[in-house]
Amino acid sequence: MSKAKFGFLVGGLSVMLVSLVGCSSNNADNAGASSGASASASTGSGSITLTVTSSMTDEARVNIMNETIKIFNQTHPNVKIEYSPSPWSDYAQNLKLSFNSGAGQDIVYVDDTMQQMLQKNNYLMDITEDVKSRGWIDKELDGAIDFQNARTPGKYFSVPYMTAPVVVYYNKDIFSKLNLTPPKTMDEFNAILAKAKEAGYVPMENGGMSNTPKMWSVFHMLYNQVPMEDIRKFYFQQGITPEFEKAFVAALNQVDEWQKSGYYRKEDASIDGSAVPTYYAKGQSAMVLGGNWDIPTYEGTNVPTGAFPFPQQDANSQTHAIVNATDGGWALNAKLSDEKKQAALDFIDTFMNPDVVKLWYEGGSTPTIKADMSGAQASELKKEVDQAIQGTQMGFFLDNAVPGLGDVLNKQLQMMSFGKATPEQAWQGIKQEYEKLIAAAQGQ
Amino acid sequence: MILGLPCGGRRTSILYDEAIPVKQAAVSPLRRAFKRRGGEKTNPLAYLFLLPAFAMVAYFMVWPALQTFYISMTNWDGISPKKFVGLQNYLHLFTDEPMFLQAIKNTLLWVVGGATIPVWLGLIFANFLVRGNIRFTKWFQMGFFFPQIISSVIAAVIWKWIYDPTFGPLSALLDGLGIARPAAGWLGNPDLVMYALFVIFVWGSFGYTTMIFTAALQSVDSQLYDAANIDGCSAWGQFRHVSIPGLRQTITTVVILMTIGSFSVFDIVMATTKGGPGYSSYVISYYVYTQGFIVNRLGFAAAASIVLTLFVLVVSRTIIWIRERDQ
Repeated sequence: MSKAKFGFLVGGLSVMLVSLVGCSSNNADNAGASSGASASASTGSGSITLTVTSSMTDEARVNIMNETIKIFNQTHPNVKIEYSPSPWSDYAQNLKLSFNSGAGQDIVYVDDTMQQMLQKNNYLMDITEDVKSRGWIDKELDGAIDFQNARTPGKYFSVPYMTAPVVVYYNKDIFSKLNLTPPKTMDEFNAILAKAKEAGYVPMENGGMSNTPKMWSVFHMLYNQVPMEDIRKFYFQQGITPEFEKAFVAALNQVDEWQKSGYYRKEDASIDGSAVPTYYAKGQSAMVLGGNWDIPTYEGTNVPTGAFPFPQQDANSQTHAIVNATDGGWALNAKLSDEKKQAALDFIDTFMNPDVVKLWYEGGSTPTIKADMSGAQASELKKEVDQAIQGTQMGFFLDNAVPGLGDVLNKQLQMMSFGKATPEQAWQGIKQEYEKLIAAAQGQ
Repeated sequence: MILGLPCGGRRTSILYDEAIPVKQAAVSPLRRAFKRRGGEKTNPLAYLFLLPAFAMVAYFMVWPALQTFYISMTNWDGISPKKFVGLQNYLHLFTDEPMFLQAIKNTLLWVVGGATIPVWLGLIFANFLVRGNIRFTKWFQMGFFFPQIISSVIAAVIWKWIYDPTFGPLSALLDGLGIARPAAGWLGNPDLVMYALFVIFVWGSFGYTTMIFTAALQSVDSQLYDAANIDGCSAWGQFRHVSIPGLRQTITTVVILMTIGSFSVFDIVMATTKGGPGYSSYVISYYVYTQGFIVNRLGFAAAASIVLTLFVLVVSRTIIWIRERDQ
């Protein structure tokens, strides 16, 4: 081969290799540039850009967020908020990828497990002093900020602004026909189930492919029977007390009894959780457990629907905790400059503005901020949900105790529903996996 | 028999060229290996042309595979620093993970079915299309291939609706015909779920195998069929003694492709049952996903994916070995 040809070929290959390497370094430069640009923007021209992310991708909440940003910009015109939510299913992975690659957002909305994941790797800023100095503890409902940061007692890494209560939605027509009223105790609840079944209705919807209502029923029964201290030990991966174990088995037995009594649809095992409102809309279902985020969905079924809290064990119960945890909280990237940090804290402060609280309330959220909502426009169902949770205490979504536990709970409930496992065996399966998952979560 | 013999009975191997002069016997084996018949020279330049493609394969496939192997020997959760644990993940997989063993069992069942049923369906339909003297064969081909153009996730969602025990058309059809159906539905029944999912897989893949066999069947010498016809061979006999031997290489290739596809099935399970009810539709790739992205055990998931890769390699290589042995 001639030298010219050889030289041409080597030259061509070199150009190709350099362009490949150049691309990757160009990307690195751009990543640096974006953080650098915001740094320079903050010091150079006086304007700041804050990147914000959350898992609230539904149109309604995106619109409310945009309105919130507008209200923030009225007092902070020099701060540009770049809000880019990602779907819940990808959110945790997106956070991992972005923070791992050094491109973590400035303000992130984190739930308990995500906060754990980021905080233990020092990606989140400790804002304890700022929370105290800005008076946020008083602006929030008692215990809300502590609840959100329960895994780091005395230290605050995120600030909540809404909760996610689970209530029992009921078909008012069926209740009216059967002369039923919302139950206060488990005995009354069981009586309603039996009566609805006898009358030919579906006593409870569930969605056996995901089993979320059954899971929440178990959690509620645990709150009825076990001291909160034992619940906290389980939730904070400190072990399982004998009382907790006994109550869990009892709760599984109750669910198994409901299953055997035919209180769920016979084809429930093949129904996906997302299809439950469609079945409820047929008007033949008496009750279904759901979150406050389901309010628009059940309103859209055109079935007259009310709400009540999951009943207490009995009339003598001293406390009434329900599944109602802080939905999440705003946290700051640990690497924020001082200027960006102040702007970010001001952004979080916006969510304590009564006008903003009203916006979110009217959008269906249950705020953790103390504010007078008497003048707010809310649907009847929204008012009933708020009324239902009055006087109840907050309780964890226990499937969040450790990543992967929700899937284990679902699978064991499925095996129970087919008689492939007794409640006792299901509990043993849950316990074994819980211990393995804790070991994995703690890096053992 | 014409098939199977080298052309004219002479070897055409480039390694043993009897026409090479004796004076070149002193040439090094490496140089001899690059020599071709008829005086052609192998140009090292060719390897330089291959270099960019090789670089891309190395960067996007080999390097990530090596990284996966490394991650499989750590307890990485995707965000914390990696901690080397050696082969601990592999040991735990086979000693402490009943779900993984269930996933292996389900996957092997899927592979056995996936490597046979769509292949046979493809052979039979291709034979009808090419040899069956039917009209509108192009339209049939289009119809059979249609599922291929739909994303497998969308197909799974469509079938999930078809299987819906209350609103699905399958239930309505069976009820209309007075045929009993499982009360709990198909996807929620642990005894039926794998078959229900397998139907989705076969529906999505038999068109692909049909197209491949249709093309391959058209290259089988028609004189062989004429000769078989003259000898009084029935349609079934022609299929068995002419079509199948003529498609042997293609069948092996398709079997290997379907085997690999069956091992890596994930989207159908993800979009429908998520491994349930219980763990009755857990497959290895879904197990890898759960461990990696739900439980945050990326090191463990990497180990499971390496095991899956080894399964695929062993099975594929075995199939190729059987074919080469038969040849």
